[in-house]
Amino acid sequence: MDDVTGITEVVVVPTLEDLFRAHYARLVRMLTVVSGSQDAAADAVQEAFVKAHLHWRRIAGYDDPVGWIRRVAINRLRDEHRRSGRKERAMQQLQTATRDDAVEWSNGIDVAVLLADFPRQQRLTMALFYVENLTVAEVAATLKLSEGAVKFHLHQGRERLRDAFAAQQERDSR
Amino acid sequence: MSEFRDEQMEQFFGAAGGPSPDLDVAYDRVTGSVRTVRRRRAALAGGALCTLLIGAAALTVARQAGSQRIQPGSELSTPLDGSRNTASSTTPVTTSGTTSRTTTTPPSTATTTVAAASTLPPTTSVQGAVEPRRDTSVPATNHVDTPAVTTAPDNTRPSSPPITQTFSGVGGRITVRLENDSLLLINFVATDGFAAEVDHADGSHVEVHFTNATHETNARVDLENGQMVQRFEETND
Repeated sequence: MDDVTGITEVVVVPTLEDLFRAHYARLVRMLTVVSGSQDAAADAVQEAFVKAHLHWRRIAGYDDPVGWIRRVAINRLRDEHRRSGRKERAMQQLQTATRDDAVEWSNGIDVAVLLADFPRQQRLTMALFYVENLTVAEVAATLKLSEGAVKFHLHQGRERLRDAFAAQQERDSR
Repeated sequence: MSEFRDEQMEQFFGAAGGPSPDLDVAYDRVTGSVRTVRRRRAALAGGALCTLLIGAAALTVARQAGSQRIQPGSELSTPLDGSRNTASSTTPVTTSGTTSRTTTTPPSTATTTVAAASTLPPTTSVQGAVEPRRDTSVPATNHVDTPAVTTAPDNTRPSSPPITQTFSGVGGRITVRLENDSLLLINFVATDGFAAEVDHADGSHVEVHFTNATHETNARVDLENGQMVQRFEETND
């Protein structure tokens, strides 16, 4: 029987560009759900990647570099909304029924208008869970919430959306 | 599988996230921003370094300028070379054109005594406060019992004409000028065998000690009420 020796575990450390190409689009979509603006979402995610680039030697050693980038992007978006009141302006834009660039679901429902009525933390929780496909525990860690709070937001948000769909479909059927 | 996983919700949020962004364009923007930030940091670091270097150079220049500045001495308590100021009898008594000369007699053994006693030129034993002399010197004398008071007109300051007086004791004599309410030691001459040590060369009083093995003359002139007052002390050991 051959003695198996000299097995070396090769750990391939991804480059920042690898992470960018793997996660950028999903991060932008997630923050678009939260902010209602894809430009604002793209700015926040790009700034997070710039910071990661500048501190890559340190961040590359983290267990979850993408988690660090995600948190930086979320904080950047929060700061931006807090600073410039863009959130309120975005909400007003989202609630304008005559938008040309309204993103519609397959049923013709303007999803941005529906989500604009949700509290920000609930939108963020649902976006991380349904767009980023994070687990409940990962969402809780990212937002510094308890898992129970995350489940509460997910449950409540899902019920509200279902009610909204039902009401929309009822209006459409008339 | 989480209880919250829901295909309908994922479809809904997938639509809410909007179209997929262009990765290449976005990555170019990120790398461009990184280059901009690094250029700014390099510029800041370069600016800080330049400021530091300029500051250091300015400090060095200031220190060098400060070390070359000549500070006027107020007292002549110590000689230039750090040793005891041992002026000898070869120091000539000089008078300027504005002062009258004292009556002197040439010393008999002055030359040999001085050669052994002094290592510095006689004129350097009194520091820069002593005016350089312009006229020819007069040989030293051993005894001048009464001070020869001379007054010379000063064409440059008619309001306060300087007064120059010579005071003599056993150990030697000193020539003092009163000008602008201040005394100035013009010259001093030690008697043969005496060594001189300047204690005060200007200010409110002038003081020179003349000593030999058995005698000490403390030659002091004070400025009192705008007048020079001689206070000589003769002490035998």
